Amino acid sequence: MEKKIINPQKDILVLDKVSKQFGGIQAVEDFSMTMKEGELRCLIGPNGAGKTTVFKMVMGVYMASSGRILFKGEDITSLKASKRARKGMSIKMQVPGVYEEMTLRENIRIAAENYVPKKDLETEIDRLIELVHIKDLGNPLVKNMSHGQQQWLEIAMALASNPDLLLLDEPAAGLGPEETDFTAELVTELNNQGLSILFIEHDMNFVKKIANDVTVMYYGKKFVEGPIDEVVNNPEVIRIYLGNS
Amino acid sequence: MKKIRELCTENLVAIAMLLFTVLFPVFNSAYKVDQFTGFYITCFLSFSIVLIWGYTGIFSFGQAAFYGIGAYTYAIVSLCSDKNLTIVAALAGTLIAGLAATLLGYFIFYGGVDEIFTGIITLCVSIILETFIVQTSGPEYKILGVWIGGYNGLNSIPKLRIGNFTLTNVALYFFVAAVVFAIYFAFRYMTHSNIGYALFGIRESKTRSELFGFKTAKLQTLTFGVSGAIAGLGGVLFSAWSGYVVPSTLSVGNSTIAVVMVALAGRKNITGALVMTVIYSFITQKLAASGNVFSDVILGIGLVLIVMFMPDGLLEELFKRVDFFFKKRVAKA
Repeated sequence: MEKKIINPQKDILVLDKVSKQFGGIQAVEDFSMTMKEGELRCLIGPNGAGKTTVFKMVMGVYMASSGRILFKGEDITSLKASKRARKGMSIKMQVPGVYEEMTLRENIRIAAENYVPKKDLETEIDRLIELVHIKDLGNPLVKNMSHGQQQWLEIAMALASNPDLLLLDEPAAGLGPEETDFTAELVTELNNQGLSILFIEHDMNFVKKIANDVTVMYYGKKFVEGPIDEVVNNPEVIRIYLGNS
Repeated sequence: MKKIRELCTENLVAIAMLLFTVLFPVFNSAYKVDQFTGFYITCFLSFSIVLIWGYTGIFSFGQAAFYGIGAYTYAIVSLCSDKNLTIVAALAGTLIAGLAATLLGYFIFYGGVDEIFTGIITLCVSIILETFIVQTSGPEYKILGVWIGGYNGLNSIPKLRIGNFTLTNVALYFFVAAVVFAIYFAFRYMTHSNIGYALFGIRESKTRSELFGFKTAKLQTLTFGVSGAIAGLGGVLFSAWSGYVVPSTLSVGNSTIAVVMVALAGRKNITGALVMTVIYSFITQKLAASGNVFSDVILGIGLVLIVMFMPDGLLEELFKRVDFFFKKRVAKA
């Protein structure tokens, strides 16, 4: 992966008072957040806080009920998901969003074909498979791969478009300690290459290991935001999220 | 020898089918050749269902409607014009069926209609069209001066002509077979192309494909349009071959039989659909000729058994198992 040229002063993603309603349920309310280029930020909060809904609004899976979403300075609030993806954002979903009935290589091929010339597809697939350490698997049907392998495959698929912003929804969920360590290394390495990363995670050890800044959500709103050490020691955050222990 | 081993069962079956098709007229009577022309014409309906359902994951009960639109358009245009314009009539039939499917697809896919309701909408379209055509027996129902004919349909439809040459019997057989295999090879090529993978992705997960930058509604609409055009071409050839067209040509029953044939073969497998359609058409014709009225019952029972025990389809499963068997033997050797 080529190192991206970034300007750390420049906003890559701005959420401006974004809200989402599902019928009578207010899933997200007036949520605002700004991410700079090259930033590695974590979004945490108890279950049902609205984190995944924010991700889906950013990607265009859900359209925001109100508010604005800016990506690299451009208002993308009303753009369809496919157009947002082509502008340089990508996602690994909470439940692995892979094509289970197809092979590993076919999955990456589909993810890459809009962004990589046909003659370079096989080389790119090889590179991505190697990047996420699933080369030894060969080319199995994805439904026969473990949960962790599917997670890495989906990260490889998300990287196939060479995005500027990567959203990772629980990248360490369901992984063993060694797999979690590798995922942490991978995410850090991707960020070192200039990729801006926003991720959701419940494993606080994982969060502490890689994130610099954290945004906490609670009942659909922004609760607190700041450097990881400050946030995890905030008594209110401990009360609502981490528990009193 | 190694190359022969690398040939999978599906490819061997395709080669056998091609040889069978080419050699069939050499060893059979003109009557049988004519019958098999009809069987190959049914393949267009099956191919359109493989494309839209097997490759793209959109379940359509309305392919017979496009087949019927193609058949009626060919009949009307060829009856109202000079006999030398049958090629224009054939193109018009294919194009209008394709446009009708594209228009319907536009409202379905850009409207965000989900899979189950797409099946219901296409089923309703077939019923509405058939009901409408049945009611056009009055003299006021004329298109381009040709009376639609209501329940009795249209008769004495001109044969397809290329220049001064009229396509009948063996010539028509080879023309139909050539078009069937052209579409077959185009499908086989497509399964390894970017567009093929894009469709497979949409079939597996529409949302995920959108997140990879695919304009899914556009791709689904265009694919639905192409599948309608393929069905329409089948209808055109049916009209030109049989010389008649009746409202039941575009009935749900016609769509259902094609859907069942494709499901039995394996909806993702074009070779299976080709072979199954010809075999099923042949068996149905044999049963009907012997006075047996249970061909649809046999088909229904077959479907239930296949869905229960071989959800990927009989021929798809057969291809896989034979490949597996020979791979194991080669590995042992």
